[in-house]
Formats: sequence, C-alpha cells, structure tokens
Amino acid sequence: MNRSIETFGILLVLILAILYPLVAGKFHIYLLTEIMIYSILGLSYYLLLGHTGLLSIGHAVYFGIGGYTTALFLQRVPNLPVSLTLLIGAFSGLLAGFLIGSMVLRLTKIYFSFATLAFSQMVWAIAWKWRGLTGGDDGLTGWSAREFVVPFLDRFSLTNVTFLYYLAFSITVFTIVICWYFTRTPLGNTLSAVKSNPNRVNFLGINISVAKLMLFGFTGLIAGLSGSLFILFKKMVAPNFLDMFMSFDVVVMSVIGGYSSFLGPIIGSFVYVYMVEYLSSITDRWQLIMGVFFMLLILFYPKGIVGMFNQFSRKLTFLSRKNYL
Amino acid sequence: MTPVLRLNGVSKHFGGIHVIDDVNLEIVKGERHALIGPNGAGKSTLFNLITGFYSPTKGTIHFKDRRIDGLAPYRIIRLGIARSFQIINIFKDMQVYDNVRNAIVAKHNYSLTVTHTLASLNKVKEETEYILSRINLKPFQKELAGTLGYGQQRALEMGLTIALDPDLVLLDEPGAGLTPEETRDVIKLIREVTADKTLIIVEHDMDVVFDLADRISVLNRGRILATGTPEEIKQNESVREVYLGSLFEENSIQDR
Repeated sequence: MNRSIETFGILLVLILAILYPLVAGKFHIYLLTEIMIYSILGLSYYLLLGHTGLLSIGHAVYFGIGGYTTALFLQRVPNLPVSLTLLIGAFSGLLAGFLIGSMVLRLTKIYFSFATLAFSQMVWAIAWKWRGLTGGDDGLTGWSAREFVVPFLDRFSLTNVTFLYYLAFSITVFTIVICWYFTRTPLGNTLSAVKSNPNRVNFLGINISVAKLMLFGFTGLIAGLSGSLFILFKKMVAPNFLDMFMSFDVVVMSVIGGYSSFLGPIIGSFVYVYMVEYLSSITDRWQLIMGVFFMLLILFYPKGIVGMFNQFSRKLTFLSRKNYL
Repeated sequence: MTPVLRLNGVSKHFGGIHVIDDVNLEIVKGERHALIGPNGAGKSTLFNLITGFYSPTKGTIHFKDRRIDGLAPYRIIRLGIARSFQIINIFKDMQVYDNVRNAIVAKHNYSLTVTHTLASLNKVKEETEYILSRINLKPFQKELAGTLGYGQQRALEMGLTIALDPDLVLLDEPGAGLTPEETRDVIKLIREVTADKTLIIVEHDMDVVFDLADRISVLNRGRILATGTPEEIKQNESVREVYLGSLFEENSIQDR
C-alpha cells in the first residue's frame, strides 16, 4: 500500500518535471535547472552527513574543482566534446575527494570539520591568486558558442535553456539512482554502521579509513559532476563557486530539507533557491529574513522539512488509529 | 602443544601507572581459559592489548606464530580473533537483524564492496538468520537494538562476536548484570559456540569460572599471580591470600 503510493508519487514527479518546460516560462525553467544542480550537490553531501555522519564544511571544493576543470577543458581544448568535459570535471572531483580525504580522514569530530574547511580555503586561494590558470577573481568564461552533441538526436547550443533543463534533469535522475544504489551496497551499509558505532565496526575487522576514503571519492565524483554542470549553466566559473559561503549554502540547504533522508537535499535546494529569489526581489535585506527562517526551522524542526512532514504523518496515523479521524 | 596466543613480557604503562606489568601467558589451542582478578587488575586492558586497541609499552604478542602487537584492531580481528565488550557495544540505532548482518558481511570480507546490493547476498541472509536463532533474538529482529532489554543486548553483543566465526574468542564479562537464569543461558551458549574454538573469558561469577574453564589465570595489579587448572588455583596459597579469601563477599573493597 505504502509502496505503491511511493511509486505513484515518484512517477508523478517525474512526469511533471518532464512536462514542466512546456508550460513554464524561461525564468522558472532556469530556476528549476539551478535547483536540480544544487540537488545533485546536496545528494552527494547527504551521503557524507546524513548517511555517514561526517560534517564536512568544505564540500563546495569538489563542486568548484569540477567546475574549473570543465571550464579549462572547454576553453583550451576546442575540439573536445562538451559531454566529455563533464565527465572530466566529475573525475577531477573524484581525485580531489581521494586526495583531500586521505589527509582529513585521520581526524574526527570538529577537527575533521575544520580540516575540510581549511583544504577548501586553500583551493579557493589558488583559484583567487593563480590568474594565469584560473583567471583570478574574473574567473573563466567564453564557451557559450560551444554545442552539446547528443548522439542520435541533435546538437544543442549551450545557451538553450530548455536543453540545459533536460540535461540537468537526466543527470539528476541518474544521480538519485546511483546514490540510492550506493546506500544499498555493502559499503553503503558499512558507512551507516560507522555512523552508528565506529568502534564496533573496527572490532568487526573492517578498515574504516578505506571505507570513508571510498565515500570521499564517490561524493567528490558526484559533487564534481554537479559543479561541471553548474558552469555550463552559468556560462562562467569564478572563485565564489568554491568559497566557504558556497560550502555553508550546501549545509544550509541540507538542513532546511532535512539531512537524514534522500529527499531532504532536493526539497532543501528547492525551498532555498525559491526563497532567495523571492525575498531578494522584495527587499535588500533578504538575508535577515532567511536567517530568522533558518533559526526557527532548526529550533522547532531540527530534522528539516522532511522531518516536519514525518512528524505530521506520524500524528495523523496516531489519530486515525485512535479513531479521531 | 604450540600455543595459539603467546604474550611475552607484555607491559602497559599509562604515565607512571603500570596497568599491565610483565605478563607472560600462553593459551593452548582449543582450551577455555578464564581470566580472573579483582576490579582494576587489568583484565580488560589485557583484552585491549591483545586486540590492538592499545599497543604494549614493552613485550610482544604472537597469534598463531604471527606477531600482532602494534597492529590495528581491524587487522587483528581479520586474523581470527573476536571479542565482546564489558560495556555493551552494539549498533543501538540499527535493527537487530542489521546488527548481526554487519558482522556476517564483515566475516565474508564484503564490507567494502559495491558490485552488488546487500539484499542480493543470499549467503549473508542465511547466516544472519542462523546466528539470530542461535542467540534467541529472531522474534526481535526488526526491533532497534537499543530498545532491547539488557539481557537481550548482552546476547546480541555475544552474537556480534561469534558471527565472525573466529578461532580465538575473547569474552569480557558476558554475564555482567544478568540474572542467574540469563547467566545460565549465556554459559550454555558459550559452551555451544566455542566447542571447536579457543576461548579466553573474563568473568566474576566463580561458579561459572570453575565450571567452564580448563585453565585459569589470576591477575592482580597488572601481574599474573598464577596460572593453572581450577584445582591448582583453588589450592594456590598466594591466590587464596590475595583473592579467593574475599571471593565470597562478591566485589568487596579489595581494589588496591
């Protein structure tokens, strides 16, 4: 019963998302594309924080590295297919995940969190200072004339908003499936055991460091992919794509949606993007309102919007069992 | 007979405190060895040294002729040693079934794989159910482990240890805090599951110890006072002096 409702819900959302560009204006297509890209980033973050209990506050670094790598390849290798630059960007995120992971994962708790921040700031400094490679604070741009070739279908301009929407949509669906699969593999299960009781995992004969390092590589891959997609969408890359405020945004979106479920980061980025868009259109002091909203949410619903709904639905079942409804 | 586990002059100092002081111990394959001694004698520390949670300040530890002191716990466990904990150490916010499954998956070395889903591993499923029925927790397999009663959590603690199917089992007070009936069940279970294994057990209940153990070592202030059969230990003068005299006033103020 519950399962069929779930399946129905998923199908409905998929169909609505596919049909959406036919009815919506360009602006909303654009916003939803952004939301989907943030969702991919948020999903990779969910695996870290929600699934394994690792509070990284430098997660934007993989997003930014993916973005910069893709941008560099787009700029400097004219004949490389755009789809390939996306893969290269994702792969660079994977490498960054392994590299940074191998250094920060020997730490735990707050020390771990601050090490992730430190490494992300180091990369940010490189992006800011190494003008010859990264363009400094101007960032990189100038590939909007490139075309994305979809085999057997057509070539699409990178300025085509509807195309980017569908590209982001298919990659989002792909990411959800692969992350879902990941949590159901033995490694995914081991990681949730690490969250529950790392000491016992150790005494089951499991090498926790390797497990976490593999997770770091995987989340780096997904975050790098979303970063690559993001620079196609924004048509530029700049140091603020990987600064600490971007990392904080990832945390904020996850907390708003609820970081203990798959749906959380998706709902979180949806609410966040629309709120920022709406609030900043009515006042310059939108961050003040955002801050109050965020505080109220974590005060009353620390498990985010998903947690809020779970709480309501529990109450409903309770009431219906007692025949109040 | 060659010993399975050999401790040679093992010492552990925390600052100036000699928690374990020059311990020599040989555990023979297949024996049930009990470790007794007053609170604070260093029994749990000895377990922590054997399983790599601490590395010794001095001395060497060999398991099956392989030197294991200084190795990480997960490496030592892989070699075929498993332990239970005095303070319950289970996955409290996971289901009972998943608790045991974690151990079974680890035993088969699947824990870091991604090429298949967990649900598709039939062997894991069968063995998990076998262990669950062994520790009588099958009816509770869907419950969160942290919501079980104390006795059942103890049983699960044992289950996680034996699920690894180790050659050498270290049990740290498996009967701590249990009612006499529950203790009897646990002892019965220990006999069954360690039938073809080597066992080292720390236990305070002397009836249990003298009934179960082939040999006993008495630890006091970090030193081994005596090792021998239950009869020899009962007869041993210095053991009587230090320990057994106070035995019948369970856990009196004998510590230092």
